[in-house]
Amino acid sequence: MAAGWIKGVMVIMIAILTAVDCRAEVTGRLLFERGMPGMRACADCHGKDGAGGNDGRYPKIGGQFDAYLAKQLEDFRSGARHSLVMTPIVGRLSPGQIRSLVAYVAALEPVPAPTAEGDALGRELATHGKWSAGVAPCDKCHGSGGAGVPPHFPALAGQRIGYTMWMFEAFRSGARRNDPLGLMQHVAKHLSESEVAAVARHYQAQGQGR
Amino acid sequence: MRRAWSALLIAIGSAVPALGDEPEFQPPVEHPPGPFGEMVAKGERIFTDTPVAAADYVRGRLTCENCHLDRGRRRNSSPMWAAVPIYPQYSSRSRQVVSLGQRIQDCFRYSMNGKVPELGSEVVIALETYLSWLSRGAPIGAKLPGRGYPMLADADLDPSPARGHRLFAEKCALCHGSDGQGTRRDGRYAFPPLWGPLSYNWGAGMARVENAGRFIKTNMPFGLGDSLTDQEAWDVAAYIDSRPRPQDPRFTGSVAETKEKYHRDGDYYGQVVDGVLLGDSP
Repeated sequence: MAAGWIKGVMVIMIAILTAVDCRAEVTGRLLFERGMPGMRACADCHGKDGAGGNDGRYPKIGGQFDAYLAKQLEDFRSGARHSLVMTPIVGRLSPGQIRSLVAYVAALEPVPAPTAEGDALGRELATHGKWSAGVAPCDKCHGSGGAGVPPHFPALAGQRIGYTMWMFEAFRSGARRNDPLGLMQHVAKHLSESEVAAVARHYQAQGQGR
Repeated sequence: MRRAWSALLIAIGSAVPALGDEPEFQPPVEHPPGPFGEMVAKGERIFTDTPVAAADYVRGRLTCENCHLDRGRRRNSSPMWAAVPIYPQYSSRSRQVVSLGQRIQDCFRYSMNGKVPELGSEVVIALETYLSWLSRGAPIGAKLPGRGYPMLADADLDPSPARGHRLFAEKCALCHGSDGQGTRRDGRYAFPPLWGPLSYNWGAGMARVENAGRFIKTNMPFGLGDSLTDQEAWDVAAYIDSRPRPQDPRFTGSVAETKEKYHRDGDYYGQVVDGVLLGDSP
């Protein structure tokens, strides 16, 4: 009798926990695909599959590591990273909503990037760096083929050329400064424009993150 | 006569480069063709992916490249092209003259905390081939600029593990983890473990505080070398090298005796730091 009662409570608790879990997932998906009053859907710009768009104005985020996504959203909120688009959006989200969104985006299956030609100079810089200018190989921190090294080093594989080039410019000019230890600001100041373009082409051609 | 003298002076002048302006040795880039080139490639793979490519001889998870950056090519990162021309040489650790092959064996014994591959084994030949190829054109016996790790100024303050710990948290933990155990990705180490069972053992050169400090000063944080002060490099090295790590393979059975024999100064072996007797783990 007592055992049956305990069993009943456990079944109900599991049901509740499952529902809460599903709700978090649904919240993330709804926010991502539909947004909410006063907030555009993430998918409007980043694409339903998180593949990014508009010539790299909107980065590929689908399948990116959760810790990296969470830090960027937090930095948009705190002002450590500045974006006219993202700062007001993040300001409207509760911490719980951000967690749901991050989990949803991180779990998206990375989609094939728009095809890009491989780039010999880009590959050389990614795998061997440009030590004569103090620039370490990108892959040493971002993982082989740009697969990423969580929690701090995001995946670059399949990232859009335009976005990568834009971020290099932001790191170079100081418009973006939320990189740990200033690692990327250093790199950006020591590569030429054509080298940056080569690296960007190389990583877009690397296909899938993760 | 005067013309001869001035010609001689000009000759001397052009042969002696201005101070700090010494022409630097440039190692070759393209692997040569044929079976020799294949052995070069094999050696490079062992050098950069040691725990996988020489798995039978490695217990730790470091690669040669972890301490000799850019595939052993990087100046001031103890580049191979500056080391090869000065072997054989006397080794104070072995207390005898050692060949390049024997020096490579020592790397496996101490830095890789591994099993020593035999001279003449493929692992040793591949590494010898790779290193010798990197040094093609370097004058035998020459002390080339860019060799080793540059000297540090004497520490103003005694190197301090406590100060080093704070710096480590601020600047090193990002990659090596706050526990110093490195960062893995798909089973491989993207960033190496700096102490503990998978790092270099107490017999390694890196276990000596000054060596580690010299390496750190010029090469760390990775990609931001030469950004720490000499004192900071001493302190971080003191922190890293006062954590537990695998036993010295020359262990005599007693920490005190091993300390007396091999670790009289320059490292933390046999000392108690943060409540741990160092050198007491297997």
